Amino acid sequence: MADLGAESIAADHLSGFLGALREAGIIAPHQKQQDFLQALSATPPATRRGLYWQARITLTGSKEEIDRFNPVFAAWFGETQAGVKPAELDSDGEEVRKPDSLHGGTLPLPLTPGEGTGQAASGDDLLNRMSPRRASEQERMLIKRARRAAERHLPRRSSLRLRPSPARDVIDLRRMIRAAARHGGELIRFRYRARPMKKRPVLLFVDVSGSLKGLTPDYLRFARALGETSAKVEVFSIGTRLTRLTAALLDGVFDRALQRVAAKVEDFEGGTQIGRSLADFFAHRQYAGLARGAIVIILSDGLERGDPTLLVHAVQRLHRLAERLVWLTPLKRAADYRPVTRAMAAVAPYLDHIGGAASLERLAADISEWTRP
Amino acid sequence: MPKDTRSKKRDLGSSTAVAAVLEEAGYLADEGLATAVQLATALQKPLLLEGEPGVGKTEVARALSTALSRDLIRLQCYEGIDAAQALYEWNYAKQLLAVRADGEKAGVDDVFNERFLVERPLLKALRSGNGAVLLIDEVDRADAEFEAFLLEFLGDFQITVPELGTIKATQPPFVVLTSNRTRELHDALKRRCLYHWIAFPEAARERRILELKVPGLTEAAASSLVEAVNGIRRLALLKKPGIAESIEWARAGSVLVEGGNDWPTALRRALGLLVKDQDDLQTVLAEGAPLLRAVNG
Repeated sequence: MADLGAESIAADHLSGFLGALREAGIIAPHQKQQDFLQALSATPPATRRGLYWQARITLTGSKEEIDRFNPVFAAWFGETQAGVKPAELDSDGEEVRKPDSLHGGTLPLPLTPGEGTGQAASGDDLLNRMSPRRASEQERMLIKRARRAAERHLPRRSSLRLRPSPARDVIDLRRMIRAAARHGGELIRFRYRARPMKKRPVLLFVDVSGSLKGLTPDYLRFARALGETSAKVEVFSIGTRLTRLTAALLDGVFDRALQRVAAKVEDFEGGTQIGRSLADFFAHRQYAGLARGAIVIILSDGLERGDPTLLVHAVQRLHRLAERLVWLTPLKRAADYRPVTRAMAAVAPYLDHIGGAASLERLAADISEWTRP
Repeated sequence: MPKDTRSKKRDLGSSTAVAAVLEEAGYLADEGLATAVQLATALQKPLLLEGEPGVGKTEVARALSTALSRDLIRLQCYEGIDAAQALYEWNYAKQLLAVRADGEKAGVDDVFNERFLVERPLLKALRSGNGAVLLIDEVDRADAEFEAFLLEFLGDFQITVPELGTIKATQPPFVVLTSNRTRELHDALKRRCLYHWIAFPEAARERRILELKVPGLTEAAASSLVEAVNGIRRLALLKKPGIAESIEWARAGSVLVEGGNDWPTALRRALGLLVKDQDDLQTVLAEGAPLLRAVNG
């Protein structure tokens, strides 16, 4: 046994390491940290490499986390003496916490990816406000049509649970045997179970950036129309930042909805940083779950400024989580549309459907297109 | 540690020991994977393996069961799989006969007992006395709800059957879960598992794997093959060839060479075993031709 002094230094170093991981966005829950410490005491690693594997296997949970784990491990257990080495920059340009500042506070959320990637805020992040007008008679009709079409076509799934039901899916032998046991082994009547159908959740991202200014109100109305169906709908605006609009847009009287949204969204007609907005979405753990098994719809022209890497990563991730990923763009006016911009071409392989969104009429008419299995 | 899992006289106490045990079963593990298996044994936790298709995730479980001479119980996941296919089911026909035979005397409890229980893979793994190797393959194919069924099992190695109560493993099974990342798994599931990402092997190890799996392959052929495969993996392909594919390719190549072809021709003919997509095939033929020409035995 080492003397107490060395032991407590080691313990401090470990807890500092775990804190640094948390700040790098690897939220290893208590149970995993316990696994790590248990592994250390069960088989103390002889080499740095051995320690690396023990820590990586117990503390991480996905390939992305491994990528973030590596620089932190190098900073804390690298070749140079820990505490001497200056803070490193990892691939995202995020600062890895200095090993000598132990017991730092913990961030509730990982740092926003893309923070400090050199992409300075776009010059036209004007935080403009929009003054939406009331919907016209014709618009109301289109909204109604969109709602009806969505109610009819939005994909459903059967829930995994079998419930007693008059629908004759599966014979409920368990109930029948129980009844038979009470009646001397006589099967008196058939009982059934079925999987009730329910709509898949819908997750909408509405682009509110400048290039779409005329269309944004229509897109919001379309989102509202979907929200009035029996599906569970979540709406976010993307532009230069991410804003959750679900409550503002879907609750209350229709004509007021757009005004509430206008008050909430601060980046109407600002620049386009869809990638960063979507990365923000994944930085909030409670949001990321909304995409799971959902129909995810992105309403945007995809005119991303600068490097599309962030956008591609976010779309790949959405593709992995979502049941179906649909991109509706006003640039698609004909069936032979091919994505040409760098960003759109890069994300196209991960999209299940690219559809048109040139007007509310088009949106309402095309619902059956992208909901088709 | 409540129980000793090393009942099968094999030492899994260090990563080198694990690597040796796996190698005997024909699986060459690197240090990371060996550490993962060792920790899964020491901490008695399930091991979640992710990686590109064909890097040998499923093989790990098979090699372990061979090496430890334990049963391999496999649960292949698919969309729509539910508790009745994974945990247990009642043998209703037998129950009905029993109820009929006993007539008035039969009570409900008489037919909901162990005699009428049909074991599905998870229950079977719990009740196999010597601690089986349980492979839950491609868990990402199952519905998200199915993961919730697994939580109790993976956390405590137990299953609750409403009519019987809780069934607990006498000796916890060694559980390997694999995922191809077609969707992300729940945090709750990940929290209960150790995690290892299997990367493509470095050249030296892949060469040893080829030599082990393809008898009669010369050293020169093996090393130039690995170089070609690694070159092909660097091309912009939709699906990069895994180890499974390169083994198949080498096997087919050596068969064709025995039939009188030279290596480059043989490999070009067998390319369909390495690259299984038409677009990728065109890319390899166009850009990878020098790689193929360099192969010789």
